[in-house]
Amino acid sequence: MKKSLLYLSLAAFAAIGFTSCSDDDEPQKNDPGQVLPYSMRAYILNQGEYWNLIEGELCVIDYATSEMARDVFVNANGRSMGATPQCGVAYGSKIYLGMYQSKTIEILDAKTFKSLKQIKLSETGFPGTQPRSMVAKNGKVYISMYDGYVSRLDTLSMAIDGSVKVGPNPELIGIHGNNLYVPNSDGMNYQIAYGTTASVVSLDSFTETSTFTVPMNPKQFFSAGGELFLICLGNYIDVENALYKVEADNTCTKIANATYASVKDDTIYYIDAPWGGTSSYAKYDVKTGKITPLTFEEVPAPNAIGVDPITGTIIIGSYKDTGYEATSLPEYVYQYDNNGKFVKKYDCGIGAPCIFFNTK
Amino acid sequence: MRKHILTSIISLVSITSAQAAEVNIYMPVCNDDDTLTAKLPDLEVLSAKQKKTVRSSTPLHQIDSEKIKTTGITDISDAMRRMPGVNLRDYGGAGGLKTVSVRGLGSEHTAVVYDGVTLSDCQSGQIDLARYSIDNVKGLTLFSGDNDDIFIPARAAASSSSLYISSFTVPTGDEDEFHLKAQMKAGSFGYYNPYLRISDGNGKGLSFSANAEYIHAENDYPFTLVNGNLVTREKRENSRMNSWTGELNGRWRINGASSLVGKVYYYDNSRDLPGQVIYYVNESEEHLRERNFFGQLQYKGKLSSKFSLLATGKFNWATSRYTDVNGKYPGGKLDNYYIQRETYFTGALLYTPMAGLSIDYSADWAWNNLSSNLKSDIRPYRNTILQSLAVKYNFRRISAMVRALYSIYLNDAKDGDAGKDRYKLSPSLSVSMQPVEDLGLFVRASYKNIFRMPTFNEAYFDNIGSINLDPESTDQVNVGITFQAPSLPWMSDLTITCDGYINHVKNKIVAIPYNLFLWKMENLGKVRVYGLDVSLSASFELSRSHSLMLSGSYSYQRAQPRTDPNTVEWMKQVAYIPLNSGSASVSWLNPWVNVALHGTGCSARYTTNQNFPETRISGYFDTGISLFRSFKIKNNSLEIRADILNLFDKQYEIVARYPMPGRSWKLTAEFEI
Repeated sequence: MKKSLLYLSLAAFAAIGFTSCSDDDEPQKNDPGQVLPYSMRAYILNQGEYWNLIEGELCVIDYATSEMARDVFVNANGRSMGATPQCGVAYGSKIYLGMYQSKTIEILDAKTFKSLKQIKLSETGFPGTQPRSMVAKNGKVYISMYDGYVSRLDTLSMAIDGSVKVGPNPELIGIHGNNLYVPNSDGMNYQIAYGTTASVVSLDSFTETSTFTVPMNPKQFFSAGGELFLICLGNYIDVENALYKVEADNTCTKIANATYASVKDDTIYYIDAPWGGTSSYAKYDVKTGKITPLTFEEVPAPNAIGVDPITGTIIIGSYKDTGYEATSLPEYVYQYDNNGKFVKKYDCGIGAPCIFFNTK
Repeated sequence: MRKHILTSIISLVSITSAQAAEVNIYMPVCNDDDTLTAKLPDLEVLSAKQKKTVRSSTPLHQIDSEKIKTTGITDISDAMRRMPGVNLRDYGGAGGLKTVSVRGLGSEHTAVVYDGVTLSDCQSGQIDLARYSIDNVKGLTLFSGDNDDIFIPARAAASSSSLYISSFTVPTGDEDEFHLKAQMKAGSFGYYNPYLRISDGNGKGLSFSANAEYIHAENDYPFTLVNGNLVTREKRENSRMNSWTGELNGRWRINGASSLVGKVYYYDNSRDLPGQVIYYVNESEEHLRERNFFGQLQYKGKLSSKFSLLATGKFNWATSRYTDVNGKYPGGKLDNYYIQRETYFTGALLYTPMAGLSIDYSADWAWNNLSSNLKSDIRPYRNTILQSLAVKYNFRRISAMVRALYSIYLNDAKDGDAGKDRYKLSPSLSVSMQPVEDLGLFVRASYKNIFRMPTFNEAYFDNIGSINLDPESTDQVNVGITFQAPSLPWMSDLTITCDGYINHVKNKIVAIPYNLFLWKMENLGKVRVYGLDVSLSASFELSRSHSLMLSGSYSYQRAQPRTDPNTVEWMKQVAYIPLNSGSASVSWLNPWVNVALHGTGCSARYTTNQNFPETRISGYFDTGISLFRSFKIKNNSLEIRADILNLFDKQYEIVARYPMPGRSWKLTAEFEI
């Protein structure tokens, strides 16, 4: 029986292995006044293998020196950030991190990495306890919770001030216009079928205003060049993974096969990463509809991408190889400049990372 | 508290005390087929003065009920930790799952044989030893490699190692004496455990016994959680257990040379699972209920002067139901229900054409199935046909055994594709020699080739299982030397065993990423294990009423992944296997209060094969002390026993993030008629 529990947890971890992170979901052109004129670093959040005593790690790449500071949370606070960190945003002067297993959110000072507050999600008075992804806008941080909610965190009071029932099993949320788009993966119901719905949550009323049908296993919503996009992962066997444009009538038009994506201005950078096969990279220009293949030949087995919305710096997380022990080994993180030129390779923690940048 | 226990026992006993008869505290020393009492031809030409531990041509370690008492063994996992070569997995506390693996092989390679019949779990391939109460154990015998005894069911020889648990079953039926044992245990963390056993016979060959026990444990033990600079005192929560076990045994001694023994068993355990310790949150909702029923009937008898027969039939039914409450599950709850059934028949025919030579042919048939409420359930089942031909030859001071086991596994599934069928021949041989007559020194060597079939989980569970799996095969080579000193007035026992071994595992079944999101079971991996097992036991008679008993074990296990030289894990140490482990106990038996000081421990382990520094779990040594004394009350006996476990309150973990209990106590009162 215990073995089956192990398998189940393996399955669960395999399912959640795709770490969630919103890059800056909100194109800065919507809030031009809020974007700092510079960005100086990238954040890499590894989820670790908590059950094997390997903790998640927050690492910071300083663009000026091209050095990575590792495990900055533990170094600043002398304690663990918690079990299985899966999402983060750097918003204004603070960093927000969500820990899936510990059911906590840590709010850090972005300069010192000192914890300003730890929120225990079981004690907020609002349902929703297992952070999966985060986005920020207008003084609020929105967190999708795998147990079926989107919670709202007020950045001034540093407290959860509401939550909305969505799901099942919401993944990486995105803000488009004045709405929050929630991919309901129904990932825990995989024995029957993955989900095919998305929820729309109004930022004004903070209620779910509608739902609509999407391709199987929706994973990540994001806005680019004034349009809304969605990645769906299919069933990992015979239903394909793809990037879709969500039209005005909520129908989805396939653009390309894709697994991971990130946005800079009007351009979507994406990776199609079949396991054991060769990964392909491309960028999609939302305005012209043009797809330009890219190469990042240093990267052996990508599992995350983030593009700095200000500098255009490209960060790609990768397994060390595609061998059977790849997922048990620490990651590499590769840095490229805004032209796709290789800058540096870094050693990082274990588990596909969430990559995020300063967004205010 | 003590008074309270005594009162309750006395009230229990008063009902039956009219029938009170002679006391028998220590039952006879067990052997592995002790449920089968019919007198069999004495196969042993070698000096019968020597213990089986010493004579056996394959490594064998025994702990009998007397040793359990005198060395302060508190539960079955404690007993297992005292045997060399054993690696225990223990999730902590009375309700924690406890499985054993032997000599660096996975726990699926260890067969557990309960009262002569191999227990099966086709789903996980592992037997949770926690469910077998130490109070019911007459003896534990662990064989690494083949069994030195050939007159056994084929399935008992179909694993890399086998642990025989023999219980206090039923008296021979020669006496018509009523026996009663009533016992109450209470301990820290809300533990209490009443136990009752009765047995009787009609003096004409018919006898029966019945036992029942209940265990309640809160298991809410405290532990210290070190999180960087943050050190907090926490408590295990959601850890309660309620467990019932009942057994009924009957024996009919048909004639002087044959008998029929039957057993009906029921177990029902409902426990909350605390899960691993997670920083900043302590709110597990997991629950597991396991039930097991089986009935078995065994015939053992002498058909003629040269033929003996052993025949067994068994039906087994086991369910487990795992639930977890969390908003992430569909409907907010996970509710997995599994049922497995087994029908099993075995026959063994022993032919002894001449003194010193014996030949056994055993044939087994088992049918196992598994069903569940999982949507992916395809109702797999398996027919297993095993045949074993074994020859044992004793000539002067040499004993040799050779066995060929032919296995047929026929896999099928009601609603889907089944795993491949398997046909395999597995040889084993062993030899033991006494170089010098009248000196209790033996050298032994053995080889066994065997395999384990993929479990139903590995073959069929959800997307992870793979029907294309091959069996995981093992080769074991052992060379050993054993010594038993002659009994002296001041030293009644000195026994030393020392065995070195090399094991090879091929086609190891492991879960590997199939794509970024799915894992799949695959035959990937080779492991080489080499090691050393040493055991020692000694008894010194200090005076007429004082004796000192020492026992100890030491194991060295070097288990190396050898799948691919280009991996990080290559030649590191296999996860969760310690390099060094051992145990020691000292008992002082005296007329006042007997004392046993004992401990078990191991060196550091890693949680993964890659052996990264952060995955290291520190070694530990867990020390305990037992004080016990028997009192005669008229013709009855009362034994009072006090145990302090983890005397030095050392915090340690066997499984990462599952802390073991700190210092705790246990008080036992046992009344026998």
